[in-house]
Amino acid sequence: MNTYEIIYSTENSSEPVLSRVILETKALVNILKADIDQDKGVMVISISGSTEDAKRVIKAFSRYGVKIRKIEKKILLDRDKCIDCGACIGLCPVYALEFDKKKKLVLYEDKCIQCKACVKACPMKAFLIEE
Amino acid sequence: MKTIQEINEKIRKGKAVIVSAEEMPDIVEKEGAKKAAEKVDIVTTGTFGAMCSSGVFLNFGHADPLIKMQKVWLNEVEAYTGIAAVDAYVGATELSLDRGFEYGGAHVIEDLLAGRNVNLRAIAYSTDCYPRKSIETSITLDDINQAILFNPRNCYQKYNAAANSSDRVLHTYMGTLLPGKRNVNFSGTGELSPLNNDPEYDIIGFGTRIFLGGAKGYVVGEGTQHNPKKGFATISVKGNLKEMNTKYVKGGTVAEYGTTLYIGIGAAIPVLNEKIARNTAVRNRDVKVNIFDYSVPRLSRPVLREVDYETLFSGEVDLGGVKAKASSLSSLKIAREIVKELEDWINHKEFYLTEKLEGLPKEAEFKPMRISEKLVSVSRVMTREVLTVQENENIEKVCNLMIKRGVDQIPIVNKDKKLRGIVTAWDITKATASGSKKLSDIMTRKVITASPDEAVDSVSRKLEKYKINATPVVDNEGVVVGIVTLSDINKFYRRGR
Repeated sequence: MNTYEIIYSTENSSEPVLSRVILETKALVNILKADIDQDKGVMVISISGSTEDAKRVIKAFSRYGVKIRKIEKKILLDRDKCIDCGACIGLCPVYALEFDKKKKLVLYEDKCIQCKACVKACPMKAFLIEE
Repeated sequence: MKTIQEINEKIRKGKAVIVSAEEMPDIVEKEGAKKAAEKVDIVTTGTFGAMCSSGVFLNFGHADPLIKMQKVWLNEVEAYTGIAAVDAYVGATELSLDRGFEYGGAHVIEDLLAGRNVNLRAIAYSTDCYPRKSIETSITLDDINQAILFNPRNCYQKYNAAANSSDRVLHTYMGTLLPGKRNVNFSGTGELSPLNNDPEYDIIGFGTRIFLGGAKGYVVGEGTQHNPKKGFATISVKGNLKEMNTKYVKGGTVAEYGTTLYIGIGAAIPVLNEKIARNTAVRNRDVKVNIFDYSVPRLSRPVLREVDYETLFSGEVDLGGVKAKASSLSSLKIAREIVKELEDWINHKEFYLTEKLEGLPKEAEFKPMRISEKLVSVSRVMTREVLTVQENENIEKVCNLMIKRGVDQIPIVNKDKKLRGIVTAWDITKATASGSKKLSDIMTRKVITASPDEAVDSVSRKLEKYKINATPVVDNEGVVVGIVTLSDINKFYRRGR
C-alpha cells in the first residue's frame, strides 16, 4: 500500500494544497485519516497508481511546502497470542484481515493502511506496531 | 437403544465410533437417524470464547503468624475473601487497581496457570487466633493448595448478536460496534456448541464430565441466567486449574469494556438413541438468534433482524440494505481443536462418559431485576426554557447572548425549532482566531442529543463519554424541547435521585 503522511505547517494550512496537488497531478488520492487543528494539520493518504504517480504527488506537495513521507510502519500479527476469534475482521476497513478456509486469521500486510482498529480491538493484544 | 455403560465398554475396547458435531448432520441426512444412532457412539462438541462469569477459588495456605484475610489483592486485582481465613475467589472481570482494563482477574488466572509469579497482598483485623494484620508475598500456582475453577455461567447454548444503528462507535461487551450498522458481532460456535447438540438437556446436566480448559471438568448444574424456554441454556462448571492448559484458558480485554476469561469447553454426547442422533444433526442454519441494536442502552433493545449461524459465519449479514461485516468473538478454530483433543482423549481411554445425576431445569425463568425506584427520564431534570438561535444569526450577537445569559452553548435551530447544530463558547473563540463571521461556518452539526424519555443515567454517560457539558433534548421530530446540563444532572444525583 502506498501510504503517506502529509504534514502541513501553520503557514500553508489555509491554502487548498491538497486540491491543487490532485488537480495538477490528476492522481487518485484517498484520505485515510485527517487530524487538523489550530496548530497542526496531519493527514494520512494513499496514492493509487504507479510509483511514478506517487513521485509526482510527492514533488507537488514539496513544492507547496508541505512535508510528505512514506509510512513505513507495519502492523504485525503475533501468531502465538492470536486465538483466531476474528473480532478484528469486522473492524478492518480494507479487508486486510480475513479467515482462511480453516478459520485461521490471516493478515494481508500489503492491504493494511495502519489504521490500528485491530490493535485496539484485539482482546489478546496480538497486534504489534513495527516502527 | 444404547446405554452409557455400553459406550464406555466400547471406549475400553478401543471400538467407540466418534464423530464431531460438524460431521454428524451429513451422516444423519445420508443414512437416517436410526442408522446413524446405531453406527455413531459419540458426537464431540466444543466452544471457545469469552465467558465473563468465571473465576477461581484459591486456598493460599496458612501464614505464620496466622492471618485471617479481610481484603486480598493478586497483582493488584481484588479477590473476594469473605470466605474463611485464606480462601479467596478471584473473578475474571475484576479490574486491577493499577492497570485498569489492561489487566484483570482473568489475567491473574492465566498468569497463575502459566506458572508466573503473582504478587499477593492482604490486610486483616487481628484476632487472638489470627494475630497478623497484613502480608505481602509472591506466589505461584504450585505454592498454593487449591485452585478450583468454578464458573457460575459458561457455555451459552447460543447468544444474540449485536450491531449499532447510531452514528457513533460503541464499545460494548460484544466488542466494538461501528456506526451505521456496519458490523455485526456474535458469539458461540453454532452447530458445534455443546448445548445446541443437546437442546432438551437429555445428556448434559449435574455430574456430566466435560473438557474444561484442557482438563477434565464437571458440570455442576444450570448456570446463572439459564433461560431454557428461549433456547439460551447455560451451565455452571468446575475443574482443577492446576491441570489446565493456557491454550484454552486466556485472559482478554474487550476494548473500553473490561476484562474477561476466554475458556474452552467440550462435551462428548453419547448417541443413545434416534432422538439424540437427530438432535446432534443440528446445522448452523437451524440455530437462530436475534441481532440487537446496542445503540439503545436499555434492557430491552430493539431487534434488527433474526439471523442463523450459517449467515453469521459467512462473514456478511444484510441489515436492511446495509451489508454488515459479521465477526465472531469466539474462536471456531480453537473449538475444533478442542473437539479433536476430546476425541483423542477418548481414543486413548483417558476420558469416559458419565451419566448425569440431575437434569438442567427446563422451565426456569430469567427475570429482570426488581427495581423499587422509578426510572427517571431526562424530561424531569432538563431545563425547558432553552435559549436557541437561528443559523443566520451573527456571531457577535450570539457572543453577547452567551455572556448575558451565562451559558456556554446554544443550540441552533431552523424556523420550525428543529435542531440544526450547536455552538459553544470554544467554537466562538476559534471563530475569532480564524476570522470566521458566519455562524453556519463554525457550528457543530453532528450534535450529541438526548430524547425526553431517555434515562438520566444514560445521558450522564453520554456527557462523560463525549466530554461535553450539555446536550439538547429533542423529540421524535427533531424539535428542541429542552437542554440538559451537567449541573442539572449533578443536582439530580445530589438530591439522592
